[in-house]
Amino acid sequence: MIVATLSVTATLGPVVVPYDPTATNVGPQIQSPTLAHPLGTDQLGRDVLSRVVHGARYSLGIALLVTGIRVVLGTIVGLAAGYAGGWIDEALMRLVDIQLAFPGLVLALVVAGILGPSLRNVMIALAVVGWATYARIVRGTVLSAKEREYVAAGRLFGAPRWRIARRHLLPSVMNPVMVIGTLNIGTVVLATAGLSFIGLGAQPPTPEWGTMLAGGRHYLRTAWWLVNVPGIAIALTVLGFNLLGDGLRDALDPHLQTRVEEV
Amino acid sequence: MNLGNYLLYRLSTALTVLFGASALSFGLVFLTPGDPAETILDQREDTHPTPEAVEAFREAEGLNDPIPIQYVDWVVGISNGDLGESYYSSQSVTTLLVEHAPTTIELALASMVVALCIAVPAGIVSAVHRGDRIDIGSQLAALIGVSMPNFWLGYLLIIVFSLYLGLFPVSGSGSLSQLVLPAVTLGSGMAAIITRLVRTAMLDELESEYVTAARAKGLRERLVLYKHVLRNALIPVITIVGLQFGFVLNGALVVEVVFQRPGLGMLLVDSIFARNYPVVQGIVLLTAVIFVVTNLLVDLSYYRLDPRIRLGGTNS
Amino acid sequence: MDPLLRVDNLQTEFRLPEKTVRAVNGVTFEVGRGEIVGIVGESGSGKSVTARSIVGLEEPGEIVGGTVTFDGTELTEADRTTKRRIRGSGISMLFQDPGASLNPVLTVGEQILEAATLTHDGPAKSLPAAFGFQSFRRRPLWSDARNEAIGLLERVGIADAERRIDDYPHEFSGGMRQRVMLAVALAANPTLLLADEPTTALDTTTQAQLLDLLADLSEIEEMSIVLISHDLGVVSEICDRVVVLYGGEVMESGPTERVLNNPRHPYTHGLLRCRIDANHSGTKLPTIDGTVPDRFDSRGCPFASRCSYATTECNTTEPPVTTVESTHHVKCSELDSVPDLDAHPTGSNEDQGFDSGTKSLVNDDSVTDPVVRFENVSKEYETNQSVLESVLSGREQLTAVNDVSFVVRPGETLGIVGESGSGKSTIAELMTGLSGLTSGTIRLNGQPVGIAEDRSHDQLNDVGMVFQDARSSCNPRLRVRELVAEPLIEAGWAQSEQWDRVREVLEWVELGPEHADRRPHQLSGGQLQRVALARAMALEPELVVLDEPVSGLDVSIQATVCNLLLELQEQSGQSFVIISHDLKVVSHLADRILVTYLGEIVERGAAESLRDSPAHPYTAALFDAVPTIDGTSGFEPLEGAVPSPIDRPDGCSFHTRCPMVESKCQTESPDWQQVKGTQSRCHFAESVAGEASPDVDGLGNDVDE
Repeated sequence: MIVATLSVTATLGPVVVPYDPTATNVGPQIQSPTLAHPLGTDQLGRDVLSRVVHGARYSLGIALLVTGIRVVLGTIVGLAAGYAGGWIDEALMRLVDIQLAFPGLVLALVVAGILGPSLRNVMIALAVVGWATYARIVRGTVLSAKEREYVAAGRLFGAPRWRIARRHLLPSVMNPVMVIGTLNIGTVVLATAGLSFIGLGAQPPTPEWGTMLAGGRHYLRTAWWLVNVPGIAIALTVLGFNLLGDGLRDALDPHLQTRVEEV
Repeated sequence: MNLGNYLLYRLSTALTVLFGASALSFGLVFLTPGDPAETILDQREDTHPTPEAVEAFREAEGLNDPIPIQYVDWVVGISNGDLGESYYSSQSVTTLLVEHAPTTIELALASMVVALCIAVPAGIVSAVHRGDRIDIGSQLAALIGVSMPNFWLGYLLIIVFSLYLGLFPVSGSGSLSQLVLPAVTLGSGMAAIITRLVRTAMLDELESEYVTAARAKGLRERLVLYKHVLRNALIPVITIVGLQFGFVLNGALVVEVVFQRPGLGMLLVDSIFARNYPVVQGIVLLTAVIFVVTNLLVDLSYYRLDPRIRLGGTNS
Repeated sequence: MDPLLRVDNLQTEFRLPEKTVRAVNGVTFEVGRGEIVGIVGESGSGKSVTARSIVGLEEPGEIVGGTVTFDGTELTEADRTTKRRIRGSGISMLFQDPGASLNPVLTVGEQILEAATLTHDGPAKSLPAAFGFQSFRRRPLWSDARNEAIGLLERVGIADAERRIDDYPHEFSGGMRQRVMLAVALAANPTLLLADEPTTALDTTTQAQLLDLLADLSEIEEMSIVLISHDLGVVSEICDRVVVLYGGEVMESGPTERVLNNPRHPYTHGLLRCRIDANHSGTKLPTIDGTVPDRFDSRGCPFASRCSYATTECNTTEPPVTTVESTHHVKCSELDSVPDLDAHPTGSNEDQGFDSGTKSLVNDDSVTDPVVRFENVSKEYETNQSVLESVLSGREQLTAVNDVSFVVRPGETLGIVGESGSGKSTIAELMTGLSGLTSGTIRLNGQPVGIAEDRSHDQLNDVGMVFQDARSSCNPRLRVRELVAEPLIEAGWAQSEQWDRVREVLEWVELGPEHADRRPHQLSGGQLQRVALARAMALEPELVVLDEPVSGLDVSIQATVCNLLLELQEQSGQSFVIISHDLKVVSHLADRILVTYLGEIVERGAAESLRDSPAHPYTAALFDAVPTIDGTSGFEPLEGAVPSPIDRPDGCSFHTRCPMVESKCQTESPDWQQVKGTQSRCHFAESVAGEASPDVDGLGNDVDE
C-alpha cells in the first residue's frame, strides 16, 4: 500500500504540488510548517513539501532501474554458472567472490567518486556493485533445481539445454529473485540517498532526498524539519518495499532467508 | 576433509579472491575521466598547472609507466608494507591507514556489541513467542530498523540526545561518550537485520524433528531451546554476523560523516573528493582484506561448530 | 492388574485457518505391561497423532476430549511438568526418520546421556553445559554415565561402542542411527516405548534386525511397546495385539492372530487382501477404492465412502462397537453382511488372475535381439567434488557398478533388487543414459549407447523412465497435460495431436481428462505416480525403466499401481525393468530377477525359481527378511550393513555378512554356478538351493555374457 501511494506520488505528485521545487524564495527562509507551506521552507525559502514530492521521482526511478539491471545481470551470470558447471562456473563464481569481497557502498562510493559526482554515475556504480548477490542466489537455486528429477526427465526426452533452462530452471529462480529484488529496491533507495548525502549523487539544487538531508544538517538546531522530512520519506519508502518483499516471500517462497540486506 | 586440507583449500580460494581484489582496487582509478595529474595539481596549487609541472608530477608518481608495470610496482610495494604516498602530504598511505583505523575499529566493535545485545535476545523471544504480541512488536521494530537510513537516525539521535537533552557530544571521537551515539546508530541497523535472522533460523530449527525428539526425551523446554535449537540456529547467524562485520565500513562511511569522526570512512570520502588515489586504493584494498579474513574466520568457526562439515565434502 | 497405558475416547483436533480437522476421533485402547501393541493404518489415519497426543506432543493440534492414563496418572489434564517427567522416565519415543530426530551438532553420547541424566540426577548443572559447549568426555565425574551410555549402545547392537560414542549422528548409517535413537529412548529406562514407523525408512534386512531387537527388549526388560506402522506384515512380526485405525477411529482391535486370521471389519479385509505377497506373482491384487478422506465431522462411519458393504445408514449414524470375542472388537454396523476373509464375494475389485500364459518366459531361442544388453559394464565415481580437493586429499574411487552383464528381453519384466547401496539405481541411470559408464558397453537394440545427450531421438524415445519420486520428477509448475506432453513436444508432435494423445495415455493409467488441468500438488501420491507412468509411456517406448515404482505409497495404493503395471505390460508387450529394494514387489511383478549386492549381480533367474530355491545366501536372506503375516518367520536376520563401495571386500563381496562364510570366500571370487532355475555367484550355490524343492522348471536362463 505504501508502495502504491508512493508510485502515485511519484507520477502525479509533481503536477499537484503548488511550487516549483527549485524555485527559491517562494516563502520566507527557514519557516516552520504553516498552512501555505505544510512542511515548512528551507534556507533558500524553497517549499519542502514540493521538494519531497519531487524527490520521490528520483528515488523510485533510480531504485527501480538499478535493481532491474542488477537482477538481469545477476540472473544471467547465475544461470550460466549453475547450469554450465565446470570451469565456467569456477571462473564466474570467483568473479562474484571478488565483487562480494568489497563492501557494496564503499565500492559504489569509489566508482561514483572516480567517475565524478552525478546521479547518473551513482546509478552506474550501484548497478555494477549489486549484481553478484543475485548471481550467487540464482546459481544456488539452479544447482538445487538441477538435482530435481524433472530436469533429469527432461534430459531423457531429449530436450535441448536451453529449453530445460527456460522451462524448468528459470521459473524456479523467478520467485527468490522477485522477493529479493523487492527487498533490494529498498536498499538501493537507501544507498542512493546515502551517496547523495555524502555528496556524490544528485547535486544541489536537485530535490533528491539524500541531498536535501545533507543540506539540512547545518540547521539541526533551528530547523528540525529540514532533516526529518526527507528522512521520514526515505524510511517510509524503504519500509514499503520491505513490507512488500516480506509479503511476497510469505506468499511465494516461505523458506527463503532474508540474506541480502547489505547494499 | 581434515583440518589441514580444509585450511589449505580455503586459503587458496582466499588468495585467488585477494589477487582479484587487488587488481580491482588498483584498476578502479583508471576509470577516471580526466588526467589525475592535472586535476590534482589544479587542486593543490589553486592555479592551472603548467604542462611541465604536470609532466614532472607524472614522472615522480610513476604515472608514465605502462599500467601493468604500475600494478606490479604497487603489489611489490604492498608486500613490503608500502602502499605509496598521499598525493597531498608526504605521509605514507600506510601511516594514514594506521592513524585512522582505530577510530573505525572502535566504532565497529562497539556497534557490533550493541547489535548482538539487542538482536540475539529479541530474535529468540520472537521465535519462541511466534505470533504473540511480543513477536509482532519485535518484528515491527526490526522492520523499521532495517528501513531507517542510518544518516537520518544519526541526526535524530543528535537532535534528541545532544541538542535537547545534552547527554552526549554532537561529534568527534576519542572518549566513550563520543562513541555512544555512533555505535547506537550503526548498531541498531545491524540489530534489526540480525534479529530477523535469529528469528528465522530459530523457527527453522524449531520445526525439526530432533526438537520433538528432544521434547519426547522429557527435556525441560529451556534446555531444548538453548542446548538444541539455539546451537543449531546460531550456525547460519554466525555467517551473517561475520559478513556484517566485514561490511561494517559500509555503515561507518556514512556514520562517520554524520558524527564527524576521523576514521577510515571519513578518510575515504575526503580522499575521493581530493582524487587522492593512493589513499583510495589503500582503503579499498584494506576493506577487501578485512572481508576475506573475516570470511575465512567464519568458515573456520563453521568447521568447529558444525560436525557435518568436518566429514562432508565442500559445503560452501 | 491395571493396564500400563489406557487411552480412552481420545480426540485431537487441528485448527486450520479454513477448517478444523479431527485427526483422532475417539480412539480407545489399552497396553498391558510387557505387551507389544501394533497400531496399523494408512497415512492420514491418525496413528502418529495418537502417539504424540499420548505424550503431550500433539502441537499444533489440541486434545479436545478423552483421557490417557499411564501407570495410574491421567495425562491429558496434567500440567506441563508432569507430562515432561513422564516423557523423561516413563514413556520414550522412537521416530520414523532417525536422521532428522537426532541433533546433528551433538555427539550421540551427549544425546544419550542427556536422556539418562534426567532419570538419575535431575537437571543439567551449569549453563555452559546447557549450551553443550563442554563435552562430557572431559569430565571424570561423568565417567560412570559415559560407561552407561556405552552399555546402551552395545545393548542396541552397535559394534565398537567405546569409540563410536563420540561420533556425530551423520557418521552412522540409517539403520545404525535408528539403533542410536533406540539407545537414546532406552536411556531413560522407560516402561513404555512408542515407536512411530521406526522401520519405514530402512531396508528390509535392517528392518528385520530392528524388529528382532524390539521383540527381545520387550521380553527381557518387560518393556511395553506401541508399534505404529502402515505395514500389517511389520506389525504381525512382533505384536501381541493389533489396533486398526482409520479416519482417526479404531475400526478393529484384538489379538494379532485373531485379527489377521479372522478379521471382521471390511477395512481390515481390504488391508490384508491388498498386501503384495511375494508368493503370488503376477496376480491382480484386490484393492480398496478411493483414498483416505479428511474428516470434518464425526457423524457416520469414516470408511463408508470406500466400503463395498456400506448402506446409507453408515454415512449418517455412528457404527456400534461389537465384541466378537472376549478381546476382539469391531466397529461396524453391517457386521452380519461382511463374510469371512477367504470367501470374499466378487465385487468391483475381484481377484482376477492374469492369464498365466503371458507370464511364461520367452524361449531362449527367440532372444535374438535383446532390447538392452549390458556387457561388462562398470561405473566408478570420484568421491571428491572439486579438482582442488582431489589434489589435496587424493582421489578416491567409488565403484557403484562392477562388471555387470545382463540382457533385457523383449516383452519381459525384469526385476532388479538389492539393499540401498547395491548399485541398482545406478544401473537404471546407465540404462536410461542419465549417467555415463566407466567401462564396458551398453547396447540398445544392438547399438552401443552413451549418455542421454549422445543418444538419437529414436533411441531416447525407445526408453521411458519412471523416477523414484514422482513429486520430484514432475515440475510443480506444470499442469498434468503439460507434463504428459513433455516427451511429445521433444519428439516433434503437432500441438493438436498432443492433446489427443495425452487424453489417451491418461486413460491407459486410469486417469480421467478432468485430471489434465490439475497441478502436481493437487494430486495424491498414487495419482501422481500414474501421471509419471503416463508420461513414460506416452511415446510407447520399447522399454520402461521404473525405479521404486510403489515405495512410499500406501498399501492400498501400492496394490492399484501394481495392478496397473501388470495390465499395461500385458497389453503393450513392452519390456519393463523394475528396480526396488522390496523383494515382494519385485517378485510379484517380474518374470526374471537380478539380485545385486555391492554393485555386482550375485544371482539371477526366473522369479519363481528364485523364490522357491534361492541359490545365493543373500537372496535367501532377502526373502527371509520380508515381513509376512502368516507368522512363519523365525529366521536369523542378516548381520551388519552393506560395506562401503570404496573399500570393497576381497573374494566374494558378500563374505563379510554371509552366514555360511568359509575361508575360500575371503580370497576367491566365486564364478557363476547354474543351479536349477537360477544362476548364482556363490561357491556353495548347490547347498544353498539344496533344501528347497527339486522342481526344476526348465525355463531357460541363458548365460548372458
